[in-house]
Amino acid sequence: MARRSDEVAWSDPALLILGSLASGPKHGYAIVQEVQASTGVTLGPGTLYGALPRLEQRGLVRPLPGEDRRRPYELTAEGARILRARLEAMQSFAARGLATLAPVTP
Amino acid sequence: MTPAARWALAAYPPSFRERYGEELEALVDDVTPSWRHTAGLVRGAAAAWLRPAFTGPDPTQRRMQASLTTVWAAWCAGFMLAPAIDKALLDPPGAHVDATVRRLLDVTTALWVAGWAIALTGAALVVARALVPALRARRWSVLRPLLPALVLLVVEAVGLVVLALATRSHDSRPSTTAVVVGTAWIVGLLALLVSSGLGPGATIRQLRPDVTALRLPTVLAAALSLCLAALTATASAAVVVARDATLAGALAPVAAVVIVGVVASVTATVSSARGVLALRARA
Repeated sequence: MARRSDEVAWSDPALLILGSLASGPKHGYAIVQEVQASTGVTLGPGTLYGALPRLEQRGLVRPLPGEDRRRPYELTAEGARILRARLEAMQSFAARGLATLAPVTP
Repeated sequence: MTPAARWALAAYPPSFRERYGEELEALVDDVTPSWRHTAGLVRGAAAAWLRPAFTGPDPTQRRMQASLTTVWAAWCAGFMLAPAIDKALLDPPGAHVDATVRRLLDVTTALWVAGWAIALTGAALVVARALVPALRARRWSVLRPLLPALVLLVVEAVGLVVLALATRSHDSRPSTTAVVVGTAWIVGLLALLVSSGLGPGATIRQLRPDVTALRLPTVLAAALSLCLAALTATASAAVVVARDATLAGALAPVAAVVIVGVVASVTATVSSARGVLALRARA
């Protein structure tokens, strides 16, 4: 399960996986480490492999030839497009939220 | 890896384990073991059964294959409902077993016969189109998953004869030998049902028949799932209408087979519908 101690979560596993693969192909454990380091969210194995097959099915990520039992995945062009659109929407949301929040901050 | 995590990994659907099993297992080995991870794996396994994702070079073939194996397993779990309810209500007939109950049981029996006809036709198609070519190519290993069911079938047939001989001379009170043989036979029957339900699925996964070979069996699987659903409905209706002393005496086993029948019917119907939809999308 994707876990973070925040009371208001934003951690959609699919988004976290796509975001992790933005910096290049990674296998499962590398994705877990990258997500933990960049967001503080711990993706459990069950959660990661609940989202990964669905991303592959929708053509947003693709598997690469495996190294022993570990198989790396990379973003597809469609996956990169979806990720960019989502991050831009979040950026816009964050900018607007921060601008609105500023006056009420003590 | 903890035994609980290993058990949770084994709970994923075969189609999932075939595609992602090794890499998921590697990840579980890499992360620090915790009960949260194990709970996440259990949730993941449940989600993979309820909303399976089929990927790879031919997802339609994998979807149809999964539908076939699921419907077959569901039929093996649910078909016993008909003879079990028939025995519970008619051996001997209770006070409330009227013409309506008998008619419902007749329909249940007819659906049972029709279900077996459909199931065996579908099985014969898979044998002719996939198993026979594999055996001609000397791929004997595809028979391995079927061996437990074949051995148990012979053992159970012999056990039935022994049971008939052991009970024949004791009309009023069964001997200890007859009770022991009878109990062993029932345990063996359950093992036969489980191995018959799971073995052919493992063989089909090894055979990997193409979509053309799976087309008609997938349609037949949909018909079989409807047959199982109708059989469960009529048998359950007979139980509700009868509600007599015979049924009250066997409430727990009757409730158990009805629940198994309902779960098997729902599983088979959902899975076969997904198989047919995948087939239609491909066409």
